[in-house]
Amino acid sequence: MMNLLRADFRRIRKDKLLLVMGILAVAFALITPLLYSILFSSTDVADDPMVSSMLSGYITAKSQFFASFSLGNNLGLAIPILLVIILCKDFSYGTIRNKIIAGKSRSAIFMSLFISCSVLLTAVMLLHAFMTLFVSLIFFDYQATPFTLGDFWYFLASLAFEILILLCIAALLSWLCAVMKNVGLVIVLYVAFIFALIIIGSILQVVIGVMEMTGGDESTLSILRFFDRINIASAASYIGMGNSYSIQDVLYFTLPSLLGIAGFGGLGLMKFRKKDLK
Amino acid sequence: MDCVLSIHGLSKKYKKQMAVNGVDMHIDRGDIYGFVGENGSGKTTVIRLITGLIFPHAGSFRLFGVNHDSKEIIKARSRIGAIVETPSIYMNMSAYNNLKTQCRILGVDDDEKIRSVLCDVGLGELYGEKKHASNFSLGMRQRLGIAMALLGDPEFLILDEPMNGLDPAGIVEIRELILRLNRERGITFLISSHILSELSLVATKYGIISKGRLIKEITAEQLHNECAKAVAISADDPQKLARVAAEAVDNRIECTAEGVKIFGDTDLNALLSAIIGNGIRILSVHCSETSFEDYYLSVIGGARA
Repeated sequence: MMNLLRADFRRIRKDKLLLVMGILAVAFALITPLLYSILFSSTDVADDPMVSSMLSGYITAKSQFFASFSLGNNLGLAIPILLVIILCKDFSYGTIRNKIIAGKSRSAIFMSLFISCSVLLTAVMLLHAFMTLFVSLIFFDYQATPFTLGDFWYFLASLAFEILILLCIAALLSWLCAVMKNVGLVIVLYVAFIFALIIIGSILQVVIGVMEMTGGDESTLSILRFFDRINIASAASYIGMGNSYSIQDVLYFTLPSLLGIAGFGGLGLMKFRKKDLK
Repeated sequence: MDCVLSIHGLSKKYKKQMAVNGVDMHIDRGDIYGFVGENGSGKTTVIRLITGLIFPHAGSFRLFGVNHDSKEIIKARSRIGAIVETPSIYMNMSAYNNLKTQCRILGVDDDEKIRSVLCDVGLGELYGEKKHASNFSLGMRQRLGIAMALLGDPEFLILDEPMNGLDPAGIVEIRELILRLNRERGITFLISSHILSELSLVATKYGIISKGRLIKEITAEQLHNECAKAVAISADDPQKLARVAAEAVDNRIECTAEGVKIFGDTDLNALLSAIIGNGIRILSVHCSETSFEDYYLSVIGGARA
């Protein structure tokens, strides 16, 4: 297993797409806070005290940091796609055969794929998020209130939830890579899956908002809220947007991701163990 | 003799199509097994089954004495090297980096080994070279694939169409490499090829497959006898002819209804003089020689019929 991981990380390190991913992560981290700062300093916004105070409460380094994990933004879509292209090379070049013929078990090969996918996705997204945080801190405060020790623990907990979501995405990507026959199909299915989650999440949030304003049926609302909260694509709307988490929040942010990791990972492993390879 | 691979009734079905149907094969240690068959006959499918890339629907095989459905098969597989269809190499990496990555998979870290396998396949000049495999010729990729397969010091090397894309000089080099590895390191080979004349220069045993069925398994010696030169003589007294011929020559003689068939090179003048001298009236003399291609086609023809 360690040998497979060393081989996988070596081939990933030698891939130029890794450099592209790094450049994109850094570039987006520089551009987004810069654009917000330009928006802030524009005369129309600066002159309107109401808009200005609203934005200063909403756009903080903290909100920028956690928003950078969103699966639906440019980088959130681009990084997994580039990652799929790197990982699927083992299948498109047929080099996966070398691992099987070298006497490596299919379980170990899949686990190595999942671990390398997880490490790479998490590393690039963390690079992007921390770069975003550092650049944002140049232009904005971390948050509207002073930073306390509680905020630090809240930050770490939020980060852990985000990483769990990334691991869930890595499990999904590994499953798709191991099961599908070509890289194009993997990308199409991944984007379709994420868009479906985002669209469902948006519809749910609009319906919940309307029902809350019009005083809709409470039991229907609680069911809708449940589905909204377990949607990992909607998690960006909740994670890191407050100051503390309830036990219920912790369950909402951990269980769907853990189930996703176990589900996609388990399915991928089962399918890959029985799959005929070219 | 120590058996490296034995296959019994191996079958593989793709949807409703039987790609491999009840194949039986036997490869002993030290054999160079020539696996012959037309396109789509099931050669590559058998190789994929052996290497664990696909799973059989029926039948079984034993690799180094380990049954294919045993957990130990993974360990047994680490004793083989293979090229299946096309060389499995990263096109975005140099020859050195491809071999280095394979070294990581195998758990060895030996640059000298990389240099040595590159030299073995005639790519010694690529050691340390940064040129990507995507810029290699087909022949160079083929050699790199063989180098990757050699990296784990295999006892059994499976090469699927190893001569594909090689120029005549490359074919000679690979042939010599196969013979050298077989002679010096005792590596057993399973080589599938369409180039029968080339295969006949190295193989010690042949398996002929057609439409997913192994129709014939024959040793090189048996094949030589089957394909040898022969003189068929018919006469008015076949029994006397057989007796006289046996006295006149040391060759293998087969008696037929009309006379005799004498295999191998013979001094025809002396033989015919002896026959005539014994008062036998010769009705016909027919010289023949069967090539491997002719033999293969006759076997395949039988299978097709």
